[in-house]
Amino acid sequence: MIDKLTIIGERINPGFASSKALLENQDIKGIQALAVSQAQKGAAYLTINVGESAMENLDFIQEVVQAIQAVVDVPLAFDYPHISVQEACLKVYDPAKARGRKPIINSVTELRWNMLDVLKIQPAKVVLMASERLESGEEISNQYATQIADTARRMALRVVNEDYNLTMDDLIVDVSLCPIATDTEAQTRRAIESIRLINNDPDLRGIHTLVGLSNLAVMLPKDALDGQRLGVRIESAFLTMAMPYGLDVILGTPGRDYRILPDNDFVMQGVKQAIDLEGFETLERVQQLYRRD
Amino acid sequence: MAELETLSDVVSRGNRAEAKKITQELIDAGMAPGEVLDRGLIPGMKIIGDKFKNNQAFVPEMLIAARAMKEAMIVLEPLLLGQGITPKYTAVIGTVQGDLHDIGKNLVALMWKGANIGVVDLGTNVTPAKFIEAAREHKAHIIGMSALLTTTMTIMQATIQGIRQANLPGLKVMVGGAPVTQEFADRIGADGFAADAATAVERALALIENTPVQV
Repeated sequence: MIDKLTIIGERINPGFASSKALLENQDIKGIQALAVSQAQKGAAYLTINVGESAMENLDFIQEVVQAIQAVVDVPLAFDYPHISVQEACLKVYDPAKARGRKPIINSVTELRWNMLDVLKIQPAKVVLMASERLESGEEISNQYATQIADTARRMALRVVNEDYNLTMDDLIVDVSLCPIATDTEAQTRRAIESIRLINNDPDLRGIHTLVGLSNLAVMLPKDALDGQRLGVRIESAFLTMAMPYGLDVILGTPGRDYRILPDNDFVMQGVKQAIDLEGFETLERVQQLYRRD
Repeated sequence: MAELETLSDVVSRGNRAEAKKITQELIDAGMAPGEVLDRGLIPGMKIIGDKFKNNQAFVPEMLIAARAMKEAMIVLEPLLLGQGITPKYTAVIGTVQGDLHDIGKNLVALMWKGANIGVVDLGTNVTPAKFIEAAREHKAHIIGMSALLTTTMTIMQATIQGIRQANLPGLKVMVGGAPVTQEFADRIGADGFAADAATAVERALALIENTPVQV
């Protein structure tokens, strides 16, 4: 565990093979057990994503929220772009069961700004998705760190100035992290630079920044050339580089061996060099972490 | 003269300089460009695809091999075009409406190109109407549809319904993406599903070749 790093436990999500069956079978006891184990391993929040069924069956996700709150006192983070699902969750979420703490709405974009209306049901923290911006009515992917930081700034200032009763401390900007295995466009470097710009903005003081860390090391082998695990060390290398710039929240797996790595760590050096490179040179440097030829 | 097997080998290992050089040598020695493609480059991509499926190679290796093939195609493409040789099959690919993720979709597009399927890539956030329009315009044999979010998976169903109503006989539809499963593909009426980009090549070819397509 790393000090000052808030982990939103990501496992209650059908994207994880081990969780998929639990959610599909609506195995409430199993879901509760998954919540308890994540909380015991240090999760500050728990993501709730029960899959596509939530849209057709709001009762089920409400049942999940209540069942989880019956067994853990960590606040929840509702992972849906649908207002109807967010509403359903906020209607049954009981802050008293989370020692008074607010849940998180994940996430609002400029295109679905009206999702903030759900805050009328009860107060919540909000994830602002900064990887996309609204331009002449269309949603466009941001290409550069400056665009991501601009979108974050525009959204954050708008939220605190509108009548939602939110402060910077209630806002968590997701700068979006892409797999390093396909990073021919310096997107990992862009994420770090976005984190730096957002946290350096004097008008946004107190704001939080977030990445979905498990996205970074997918599609790569389990072991590095030095015989140790590859994935968790790539993730750790990212934390080692991004936390000094203010990254303080991750969507991740509680209990995973995240660490601040020393400079001379084999993977740390490789990741650092890889993200300084461009195009396919990034991939070739990543390859050197796990193959010899 | 260089050998076709050597060409396959250097493509599979992603050596783009060698891939280009050997391709040029084979052409200079009088080999037909179509043969260089079918017996040198495409088998090279198949080697890396098979390794990928067996966990002996990973996504960076696939991307780097695809780049080597692309480099060799710089030599071949004008010659193939000059002889009026175009890819036998055409695919339209995109990420469904509401979803901006493109990594998986791009990998499938690369591997399909590596199998010499002509690929029309519509990008991300593709509406059902755009899929249909492109399939009609390019006389596509197959549509590949990707979704990364559990929440946009449902859009696939609507897109498939739209395609079925659009009267494009013989057109196959394949779906994929992290949350998508064979069971889901069956449920929404897709013709095929693949869990990874290498498998997507086999599935697409099997689907296309088992069905005569009216154009």
